Amino acid sequence: MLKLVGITKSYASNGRTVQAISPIDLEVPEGQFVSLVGPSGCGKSTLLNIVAGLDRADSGTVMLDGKPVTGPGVDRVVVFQEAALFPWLTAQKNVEFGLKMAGLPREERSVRARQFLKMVHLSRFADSYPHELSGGMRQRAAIARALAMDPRVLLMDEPFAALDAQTRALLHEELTAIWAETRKTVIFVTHNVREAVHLSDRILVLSARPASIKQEFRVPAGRPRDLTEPGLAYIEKQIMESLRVEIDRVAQAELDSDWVHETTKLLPPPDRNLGSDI
Amino acid sequence: MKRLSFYLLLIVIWEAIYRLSLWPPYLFPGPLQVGSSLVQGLADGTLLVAVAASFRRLAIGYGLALAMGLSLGLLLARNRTADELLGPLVSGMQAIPSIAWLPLTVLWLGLSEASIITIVFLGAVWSIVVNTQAGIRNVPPLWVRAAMTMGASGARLFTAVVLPAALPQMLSGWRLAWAFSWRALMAGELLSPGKGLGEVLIVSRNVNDMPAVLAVIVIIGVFGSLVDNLLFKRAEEQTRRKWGLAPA
Ligand SMILES: Nc1ncnc2c1ncn2[C@@H]1O[C@H](COP(=O)(O)OP(=O)(O)OP(=O)(O)O)[C@@H](O)[C@H]1O
Ligand SMILES: [Mg+2]
Repeated sequence: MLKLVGITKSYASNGRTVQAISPIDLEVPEGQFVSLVGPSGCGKSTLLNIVAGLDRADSGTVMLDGKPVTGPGVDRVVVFQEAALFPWLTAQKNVEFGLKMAGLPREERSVRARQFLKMVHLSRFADSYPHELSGGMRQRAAIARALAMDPRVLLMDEPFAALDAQTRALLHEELTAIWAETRKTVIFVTHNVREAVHLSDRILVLSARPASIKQEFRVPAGRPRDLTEPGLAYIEKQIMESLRVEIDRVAQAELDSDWVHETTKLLPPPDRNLGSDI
Repeated sequence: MKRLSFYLLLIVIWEAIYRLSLWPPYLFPGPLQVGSSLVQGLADGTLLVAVAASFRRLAIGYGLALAMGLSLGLLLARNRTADELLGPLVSGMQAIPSIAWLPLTVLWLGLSEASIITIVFLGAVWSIVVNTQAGIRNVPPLWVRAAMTMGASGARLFTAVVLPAALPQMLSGWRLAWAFSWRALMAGELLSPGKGLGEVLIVSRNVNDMPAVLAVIVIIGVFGSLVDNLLFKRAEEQTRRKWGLAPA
């Protein structure tokens, strides 16, 4: 069980303090797949990094199985938006990295890494360097690297955002299959509502900055999912509407600032990135 | 092949100009004389001894610069106060051609081996410091964070992630340092007695043996570019290729 109690966070920039997270409380039972959606800049990555132990909350605690989180740890591994593979290591050695840090013997490491590369269908590319892999392959290797650590919680920060629609759809299937097999607790940040509905048990809509949990949706359907199913389409629509209000608030706040002319031109249509493009 | 014929052509032109006798042979020797002087110098060992003497100074000076440059670069990358205090000093030092220190080193150490080695050291050390520091500073935080979530910390984080991530830039620094120290060595040797290449050059000039002067210059050029190409350039390119970086 992952438990967040009264998490807040603010940043000081240019002498002003920007509140990124207003108190957030959250309980995620073992094995649940939770997605966080919210307007850009609302504090999703910040929240994820706090759970990862990479950032410190100003107040509140993150508890994993009743123990407070005090820093990064192998029980909570992160998959970042850009696959953070080490370019000087082959895919195989990248997957072995965490196992090596954990002190696993060479043989065991190599067997285990191969097993997880196979899981993401990269066996043939075990000896390739990251720059020899496609974006989708890199992201798969990063997922294999995270899974090989056998973490209690998998934290994913827009892991598929940089990929094309086909690759993304493929990885959705793979992730669903992997999740069904391993039953990890997953916290998944995305801008893509459809992606969230496709993958999650539970979806949290975060408010415009400072982030708080605005609304919560459950997706009771089994897997694999067919998104054209009316029930799912209805949930998707509701989440979109909930999110739209927050995005409009962000847009309005920008419009209210001094540089109206520039911002109006640069503002994307509010429904961009909401998943209508997959 | 194209290159080879081009250089042959250059030598032919050189010979042709020599044959025109615009200048007396003791001022402008032809390629054949230079070649035979080169062969003779290599055969009787004088040039080889000179190369060995120069190389020894270089190895010691550069080795010391590497040790010191890495430690200082590390300190500056890790410690903000050290960077604030020493950073400007280091970049100032980098702007001084190291041969400018020769009067001082001669005062302190005499016209000795130590004096030249110090010049070589001063030529190399600053660009090693600067590039070590910059290399470590520029390590993408993403890699460090990823490594931390996989249980790396402290010294292991440093050796397994920070150092390899910084290696390409550090190698560029080492290569630059090599170029500086090689020049510093030659300048130092020209100004002091001894057995090195620069010194053979001056001795040959003093006895008006122009073919020998040019032969030494050829050796200096060949040796300098061989080390640069075979060692540093190759290491740098291989690293950059493996790391997936564009060629420098
Ligand atoms: N290191 C930092 N220093 C100062 N401000 C920061 C820092 N990191 C984040 N912020 C601010 O905190 C807010 C939340 O940032 P965060 O990266 O968590 O947003 P996000 O929800 O992940 O956005 P996106 O969807 O665009 O990735 C932003 O307004 C950002 O400007
Ligand atoms: Mg983010």
